Amino acid sequence: MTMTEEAKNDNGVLLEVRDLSTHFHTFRGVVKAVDGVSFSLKRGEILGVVGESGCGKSVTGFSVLRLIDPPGRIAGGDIIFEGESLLKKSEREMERIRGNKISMIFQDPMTSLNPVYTIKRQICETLELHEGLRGREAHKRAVELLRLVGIPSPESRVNYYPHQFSGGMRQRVIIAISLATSPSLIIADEPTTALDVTVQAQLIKRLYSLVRKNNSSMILITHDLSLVSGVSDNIIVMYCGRVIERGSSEAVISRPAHPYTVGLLGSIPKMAGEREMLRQISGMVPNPFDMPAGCAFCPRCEMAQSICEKEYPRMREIEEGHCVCCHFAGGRGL
Amino acid sequence: MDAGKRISKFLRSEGFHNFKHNPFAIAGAVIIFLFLLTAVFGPHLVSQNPYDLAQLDLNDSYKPPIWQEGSDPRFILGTDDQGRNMVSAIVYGVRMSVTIGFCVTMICMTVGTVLGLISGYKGGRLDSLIMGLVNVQLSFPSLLIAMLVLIAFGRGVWKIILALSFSGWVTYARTVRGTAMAEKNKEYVEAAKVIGFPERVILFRHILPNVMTPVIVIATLQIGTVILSEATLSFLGIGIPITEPSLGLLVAQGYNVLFSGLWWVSVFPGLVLMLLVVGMNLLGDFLRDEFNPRLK
Amino acid sequence: MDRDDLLLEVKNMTKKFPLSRSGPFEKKKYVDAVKDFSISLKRKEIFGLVGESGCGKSTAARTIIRLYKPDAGKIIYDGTDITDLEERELRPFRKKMQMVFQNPYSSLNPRHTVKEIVTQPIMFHGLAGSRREAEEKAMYYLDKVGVLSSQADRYPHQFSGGQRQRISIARALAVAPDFIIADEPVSALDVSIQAQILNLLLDLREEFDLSLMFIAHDLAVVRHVSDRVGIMYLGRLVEYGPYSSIFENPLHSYTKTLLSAVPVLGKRTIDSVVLSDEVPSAPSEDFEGCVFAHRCGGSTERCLCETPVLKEHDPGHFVACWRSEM
Repeated sequence: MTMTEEAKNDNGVLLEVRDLSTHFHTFRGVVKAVDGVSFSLKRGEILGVVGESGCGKSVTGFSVLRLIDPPGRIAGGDIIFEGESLLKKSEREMERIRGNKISMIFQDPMTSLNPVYTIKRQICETLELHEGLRGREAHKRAVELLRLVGIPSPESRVNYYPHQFSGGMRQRVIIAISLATSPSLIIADEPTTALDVTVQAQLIKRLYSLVRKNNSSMILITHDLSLVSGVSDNIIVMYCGRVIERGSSEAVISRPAHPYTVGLLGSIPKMAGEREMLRQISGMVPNPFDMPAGCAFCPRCEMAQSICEKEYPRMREIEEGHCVCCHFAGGRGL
Repeated sequence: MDAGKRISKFLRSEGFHNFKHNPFAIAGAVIIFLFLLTAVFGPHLVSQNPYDLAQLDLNDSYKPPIWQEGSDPRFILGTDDQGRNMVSAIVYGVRMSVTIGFCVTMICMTVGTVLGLISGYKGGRLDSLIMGLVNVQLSFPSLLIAMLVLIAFGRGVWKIILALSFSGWVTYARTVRGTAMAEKNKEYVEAAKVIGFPERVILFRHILPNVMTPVIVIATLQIGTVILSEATLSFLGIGIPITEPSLGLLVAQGYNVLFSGLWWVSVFPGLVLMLLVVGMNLLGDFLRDEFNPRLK
Repeated sequence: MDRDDLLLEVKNMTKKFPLSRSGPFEKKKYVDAVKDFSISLKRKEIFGLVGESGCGKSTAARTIIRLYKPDAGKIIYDGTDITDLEERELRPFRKKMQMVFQNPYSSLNPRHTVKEIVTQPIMFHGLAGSRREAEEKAMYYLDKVGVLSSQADRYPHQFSGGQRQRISIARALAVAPDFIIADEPVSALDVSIQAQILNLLLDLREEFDLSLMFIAHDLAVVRHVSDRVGIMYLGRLVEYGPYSSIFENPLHSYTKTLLSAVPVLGKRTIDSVVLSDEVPSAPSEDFEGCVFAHRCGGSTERCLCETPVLKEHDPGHFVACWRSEM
């Protein structure tokens, strides 16, 4: 965001990602899963990171927590959290941050919890590690947390095993664990994708209110534009490892500028009104081993010109706080 | 796709790339290849058929290998008690080992895979029956079963193949059953049913190709085991009759005179056996790791 | 509904599954995965079936297409009762009804080439004089769904999710069916690819005069493609009718809850109806009463003991709810 230059340390900037690159070195070549991504997050802000599969949104989330294993590695850029660079920290220091100041919620509730330990054990593990709570105190806090996330009869359920809970309940437990240490940042990677729609609605509402209450920040990673438009303050749209549009939720959804965003929004069937033919984005996401020079979206773009093939566009601000990475956008909305 | 394209595609694949860079796998493959050549062409290349009594001369018995005193330049690795050229004996023995190994493995693979497929796909009582049989089989040591069969039916090459096949099919059945059970719930199988294919078509044209991967690994590793088993049985005197070639028999014969200084009769066949099995294991290990579905 | 126009009639179809927890000596307990399911489908109609996980929509689909045999009720396809037919007798019907599955990664045999996958059904049903003719036909359908002939000799893993779904569709089309059940065909796909496949299905419906039963959990998708929509909950069809009627005037409490829970672009969080989180599992076979009663806002005595029946409330719009009659 253009605010970044002025709003340096403090001014409530919690996280700043500058030109982050994460590459994977595979047999067939290097995959630039994240290729020069920049964004920033203030305290108490909810940022939606949106894109389709393969765009690099999850890898971005994992990179912030430095959870990238070989053959992947963070290849460039910086991640500044609370004024300090996370990339310069030792693994030991990162361990004190993970699950403590920055926590993460993963996509699959069926495998995020350890099946052989009770819920209580898993919550208390975090409490013990980061808050130093033990015994009865930890137990009390665990029950409190379960109540907070809306699990009925938490006093008895705290002793349950994960398989005794439904998917939605398990996600609530995971949210409870992630909130246990009152983190300043929560990274939620597709937290509701695997859940039914009614459960999803419940959960996202609960998550939203808890995050707001704690004045935590949240990065909500998802492919669901409708979902993200309901909860986030700002949105960044990713394509092929790059940020192609960013702005407030309202701006990006009602005045999308990048042709990809426009196409994406047009592909979503509506719940009311005329049933028009869905706008489709022709073609497919490019082969990560064979990325086009110039703009990555060019081969599929209706507005493409010759400059798009040769030159990668720069991020331009088209209205206050709303930027797009395109040679032409801002003029024609489709 | 024609053969040429398939081959070049294979050569560019990740699997072959890993193979090229794995010295053990290459060693294993080379060893096996040499043994195959020996098994097929060897007997035509050596001077003597050591199992044709007419060609033997007892005066040639127990000649030492060429670098020792008292050796005969005709017999590079020496001779055994019947005057057999060790080189020829070993070559014929290798042919026998490879043949038995191959036949037993083929039989076990076929029987085991078919039973495993049926068991895994149909489930229910048939499954219980077949797995019951498998469990009974597994509770006996395979060599013991082989011995019992040989005692019952007598000795001879085909009887040995039968005896060793008795227990060898079991691993295939179990593994294939597991894979078949997993595959039968996949949607491509449902799609095949919706198209209306009869069960045998679904089993053999649709599911079978998808269970073959572990089968190949088991087969490669099993050939070595079978060869050793045959050698063991022959060594014990209940395997191949003395009139037929066998590396195990050679080891046995040489065993009696081993400590009188006539070491070459046991040691060379033993080394060859060891090399053969090591080769199979190296390649088998590589294949097993290669086919192991990696999660990323 | 005009009798000649009727392609499929399902009457009170029930499918049970054994509850695995009953021991070997107890009487086997069963669960009604689908209970008393009745619909009719016209030619060229798209019927959308919606519900959340465990509602039985996939089971209903598989029973209709006779992957399972129903435990009760009737399935009448184009005038013939196919409920109890044995596999051999079903064979001629297999080329009239086909299915497209949800998971693009496991619905194509990884060991067959794409050409083989589409050619096999044509050969099997004797729809071509020779192998070459069958292959040509296969290429025709592959082309229709947008797969290039140069790619036909490739294996499924070399294609993307969206392309694989196209191949699945080609396979279903290859036998020239009248009726295709699409079980969550786009759920595993990205939104932009989803749009491609949905547009493709609508085009193919026109071109090949297909009837479609479209199963999904995504309400917006269902609304977009369906002529009529049915809502399932715990094995029962609780409401169905023309899409506009269902979406603009939902009658069943569950339908209302479902609709309000769907996130809408631009609408801030979220004034949805609060439901207790547990989605119960399908009730056992002796259950009486409305399956939704204990989660519904205003259930009555009658709701708890008498199973509601589908009744027409508005033209073509049926709902199974005692409250709607009050």
